[in-house]
Amino acid sequence: MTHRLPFIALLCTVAWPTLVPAETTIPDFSGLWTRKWVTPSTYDAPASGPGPVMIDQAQPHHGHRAGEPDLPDVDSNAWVADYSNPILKPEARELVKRITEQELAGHPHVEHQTLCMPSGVPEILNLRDNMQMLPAPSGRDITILYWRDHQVRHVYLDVPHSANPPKTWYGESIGHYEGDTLVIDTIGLNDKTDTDRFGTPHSDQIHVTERYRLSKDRDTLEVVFTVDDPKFFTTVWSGRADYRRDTRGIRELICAENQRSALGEQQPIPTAAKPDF
Amino acid sequence: MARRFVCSIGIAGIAAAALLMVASADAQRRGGERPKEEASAPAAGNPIYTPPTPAMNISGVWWTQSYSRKLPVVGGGEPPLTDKGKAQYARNVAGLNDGSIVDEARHLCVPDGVPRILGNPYPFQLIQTPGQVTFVYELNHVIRPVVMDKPQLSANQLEVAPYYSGHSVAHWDGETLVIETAGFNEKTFLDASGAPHSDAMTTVERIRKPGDKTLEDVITITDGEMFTQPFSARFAYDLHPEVRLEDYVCGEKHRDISMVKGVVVPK
Repeated sequence: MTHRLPFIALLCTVAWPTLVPAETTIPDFSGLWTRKWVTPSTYDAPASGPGPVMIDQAQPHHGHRAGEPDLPDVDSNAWVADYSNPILKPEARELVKRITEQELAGHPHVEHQTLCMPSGVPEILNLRDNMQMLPAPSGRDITILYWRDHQVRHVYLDVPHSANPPKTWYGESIGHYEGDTLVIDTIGLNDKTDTDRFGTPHSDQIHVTERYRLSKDRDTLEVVFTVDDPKFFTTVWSGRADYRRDTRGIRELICAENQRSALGEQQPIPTAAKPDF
Repeated sequence: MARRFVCSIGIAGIAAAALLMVASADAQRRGGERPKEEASAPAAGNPIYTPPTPAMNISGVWWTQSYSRKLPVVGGGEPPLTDKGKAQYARNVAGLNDGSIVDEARHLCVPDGVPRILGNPYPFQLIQTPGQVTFVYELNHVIRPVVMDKPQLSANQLEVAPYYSGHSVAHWDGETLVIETAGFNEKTFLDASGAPHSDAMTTVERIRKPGDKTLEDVITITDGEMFTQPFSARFAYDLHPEVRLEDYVCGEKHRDISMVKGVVVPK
């Protein structure tokens, strides 16, 4: 808890757009991006301070080939979380431990996106395939496209949060620029998604801040995010979710087209017994 | 509707995409060719598109002026079906009525495809960025990318990867955006009544703003298998800057669309 107050003070500072002078140009995040990561589908550690639940280094997830971390998993083994991470409150630790034990027993934890469900924030940062950021000509909003199952986030610029935003899958995201950095602040998330690939829970009180900035060579979109959710975490923590440029091109990837999971088992996907219209 | 076939060959979205990634990476290492629809642009630039004229600013949240179960054919009447088209339409209507054909767009929330998506009763957002126009639909969280001022993919590339929304390229003809689309799959209907199309269908859309806050999309459909000649349908939208697109998960409660003209919400 000793970390909390300074972090909250920092969040309040960065999330207050009026303190920042208006920029005449915005940083160019155009193009297609795909995550670069040490272990696929997971966050990287922050430069310092409390970090995300990560793979148990004693039992690394294999499947991505050594030296080629961007290749997909083949012949993968269990995802073993390091649930000794001190960010976890007991209830969260118990859940992650239980999920990890199930993984080791041969019952993989199924991610929401595998079931054609929204990933939520911040877990959407761990989606594979292309990501694209589209700033509207009006300058009023940025739409973030995740081509894996066409997940979409809307970020409204230079406006305050709603007084009581409804709890939704992607929450309510507002943003502003601080020089070369886009800062996105998200609240109003429901509690139905996981925080990460290991099933770490979050509540509907979760508050996520993301900071996007290009590397000096412009080949990396550096993303640092911060998570605050006192219900499940002992402290505010942060993580890295960098992207690299991707030239493979956009593809239409429709999850509901296939009603089986990657595990080969029949998995329920969202369906509508009664159509909307 | 080739759903079973697709299910049997599609190992699952995740696995299939993973295989594609392997194939792509392997091909690139070998110096092989892959359809490159849009390369990223490493040079710094302004990521914001500046429309040359107000009429060429078609970005924003749009909402159809009315909904119809049947394709709103220009001049009224029915699409000019071939004999094969008539037979297929009759099968679709009968199957949708007796339940032997599932309207997957409504029950599984796969994309409606073009042109059916154009008349859907939920709002959508158009976003113009340099080199690209993107339709982001609230309904079924469909994204439809349109590449500006590039040639269409080759016939071979279109055949290898048919999409629900097809592959679209566009250019400006004066202040009218002309979108040409090909490479559709055969898993969609032209409208909610079950009007058919084949994977040979191509479309040309002419999108323009008749007024500051209205948008029109006149789509011409060419499909020699199902139709004796090209024909057109017209869709009209109003600008809704006050609307934010919402999440859409199949089977959940979504925004109220009962006020949209022509919508009948099932009881």
